Amino acid sequence: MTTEQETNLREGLQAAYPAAEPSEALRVRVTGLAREMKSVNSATQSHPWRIGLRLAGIAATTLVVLAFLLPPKLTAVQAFERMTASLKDVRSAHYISWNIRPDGTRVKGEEVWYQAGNWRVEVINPDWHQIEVCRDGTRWTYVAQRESVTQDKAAFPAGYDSISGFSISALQHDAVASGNQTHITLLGNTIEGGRPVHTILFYSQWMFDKQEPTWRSRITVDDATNLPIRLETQKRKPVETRWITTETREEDFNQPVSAAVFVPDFPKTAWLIDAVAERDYWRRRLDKGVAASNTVVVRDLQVNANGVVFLLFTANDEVGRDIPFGNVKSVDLTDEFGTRYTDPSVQNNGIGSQNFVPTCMNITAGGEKVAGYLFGEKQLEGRRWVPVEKQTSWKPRQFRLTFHLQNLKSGQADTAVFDLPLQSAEADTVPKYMPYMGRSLSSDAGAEGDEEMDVRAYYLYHIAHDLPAALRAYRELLTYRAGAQNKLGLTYGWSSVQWLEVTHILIELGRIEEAKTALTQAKHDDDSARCSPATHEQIRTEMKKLGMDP
Amino acid sequence: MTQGGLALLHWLALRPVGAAHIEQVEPEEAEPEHVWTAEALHQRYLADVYASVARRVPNRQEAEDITAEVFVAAFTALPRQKPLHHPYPWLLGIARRKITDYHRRQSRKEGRTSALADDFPSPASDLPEAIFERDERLRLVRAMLTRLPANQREALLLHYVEGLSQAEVALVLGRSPAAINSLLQRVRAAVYKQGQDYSLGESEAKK
Repeated sequence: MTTEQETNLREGLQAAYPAAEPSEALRVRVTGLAREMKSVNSATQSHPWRIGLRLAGIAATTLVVLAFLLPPKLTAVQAFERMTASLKDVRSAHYISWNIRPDGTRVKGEEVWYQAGNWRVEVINPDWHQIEVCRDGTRWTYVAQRESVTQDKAAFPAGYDSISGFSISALQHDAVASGNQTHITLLGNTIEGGRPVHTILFYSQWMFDKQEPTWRSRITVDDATNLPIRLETQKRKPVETRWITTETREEDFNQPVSAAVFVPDFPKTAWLIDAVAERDYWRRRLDKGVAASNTVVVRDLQVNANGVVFLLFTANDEVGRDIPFGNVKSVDLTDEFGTRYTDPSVQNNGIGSQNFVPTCMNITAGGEKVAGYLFGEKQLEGRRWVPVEKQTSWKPRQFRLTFHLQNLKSGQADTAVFDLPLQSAEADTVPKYMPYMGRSLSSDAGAEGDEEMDVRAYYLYHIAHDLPAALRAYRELLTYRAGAQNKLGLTYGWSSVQWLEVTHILIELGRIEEAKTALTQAKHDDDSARCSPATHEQIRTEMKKLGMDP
Repeated sequence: MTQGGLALLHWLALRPVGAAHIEQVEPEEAEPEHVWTAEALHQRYLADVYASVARRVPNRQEAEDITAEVFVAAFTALPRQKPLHHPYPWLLGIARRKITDYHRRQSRKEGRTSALADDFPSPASDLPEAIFERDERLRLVRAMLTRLPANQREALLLHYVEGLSQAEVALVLGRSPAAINSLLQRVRAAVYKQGQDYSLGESEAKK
């Protein structure tokens, strides 16, 4: 190509794709984000303790956000600055969080100890008993239900050092991205347990809400040390004036913590899993694969006890190219018994479902890295199918996998078909390789079961359009969640989307009064734990349609 | 052949590519490395990043949302980012991933695959014939790009429209500069071929 031709090419392309101008609204929005980030960065100089501490994450982040979204009173900013400055210097910390039931009784949620880079995090509730200990770059995770201890290389408890975890910047980002606005109030000094304290209240609500805030945090801070001693999460129903404490966290800083707390001392009978060796075992096993064509290598195929099918494969795709943007456009699954399967990731609610991405780019401090396995620099890809009918006892069977491919380079279409038998359900919940995937699925039986019910209900309503069956399925899920909430002592649910689905089904069935009840429940959950602005708007719209006051 | 087809060939002004022409990969600019603040970053690059996103995302509101997400991610990473002399490729790399996420969400919601934005307003012009001819030509160019494989299309846009050097395109696409050099050669050949195919297709249709 000559220089003139190349100039023509450049000019032609630039004419075909002119530069659109950003609106003033976008400029204002991004300028605001820059200001918030400046404040966060100046208030949160890197400090290992503060990176992960949930108190710092939740309390300080919200304070930072509110400090710049709405100019607060100067005294409140001063209180915040004093508190964050004090948190920078803590040598040790201990806190216990409790969920408060409507009758006032409390259920322990989590207990955390920190001292000189060592951590211990205990979660003990009726369904889950987990202890994490981090010391000298090693992390031990004990799960009582599985009678196992997993040993891995990590300096922080899980979720305390990731961008999507509890870092201040992550939470700040989440708060802004979810469209929350906040404001702060500083209450006067009081005496508590013989020591002077002051109290900071901060309120958060979706920025387009016109009603009074329904959520706030109340931090009680020691005047002498400027360190928090308690953080309470409080909620109230719209229009009501009374605030109800749903969670409280007691905090204690700079007290010596016994070295024994950071000793990984677990029951001797627990099964020890060496995560480093396990990761290597799965690399070797997946490298070998179970079947291959000239375009696809099936790396693994498993089912769990409920008949959920998990597939891993490579199809010569680079990292970041996944269905339908890679060489594989779709994968179909059938079995010899004619079982109906649904793939949650291609359902409309796949966005809300657990996200299974075997290999991905992971944004971490200092840049990006690939999380998960690569084979020949090509990413591992995964699919999961949930059987539409609940499987009571799983039988050995032959599966057929049909890959529909279109080569990204040549555009050539192709299919690859594999007939693969499976003799047993290898996994109880999710396959044992899951902890080593880029974005894994929870191996908690409760989470997996909840997900399966949700996927099944969605299929019955939106794909099979079997209204009575869909209603039964959603009610089964909601009953299950209500039980879990009660056990945990939670006064609210996180099922506004599912209650809205139930509302729609009941309207279609002509059961309007029941639909109104379901919609009231959707609003209750939405007020307590808003899932998304879109769901919030849908609830308001439906309430107006049904003649209810939103 | 339609006026548009003729115009496309005229615009391309291409003849068959002869022996492989190896381009030198441009050296990186020798500007000093610079620690960027969030303010400076968005003041300098907001318009460029938005323009880049808008070329790939048809809906204005969604393009603005994605642009805001790009800057949130950039601001978040900035304190840990090593000094940059030219952060534009880094920002476009973030934008590329955000756009991929967006298209993935869209395809899940609506069962459709990604497409380049195709609703650009035409630049102002006085003569109706000139408007018709130019609009037809631009439509053909955009249609031609849509037919290219995604990586070729991206390389073309990044290099010729967004003005990145081959080394910078390599950075954004996660490939080696040599691979980008080769990719751009292929895409130029493909553009030439597609330009011919359009014309042939239309002239055949006339018969």
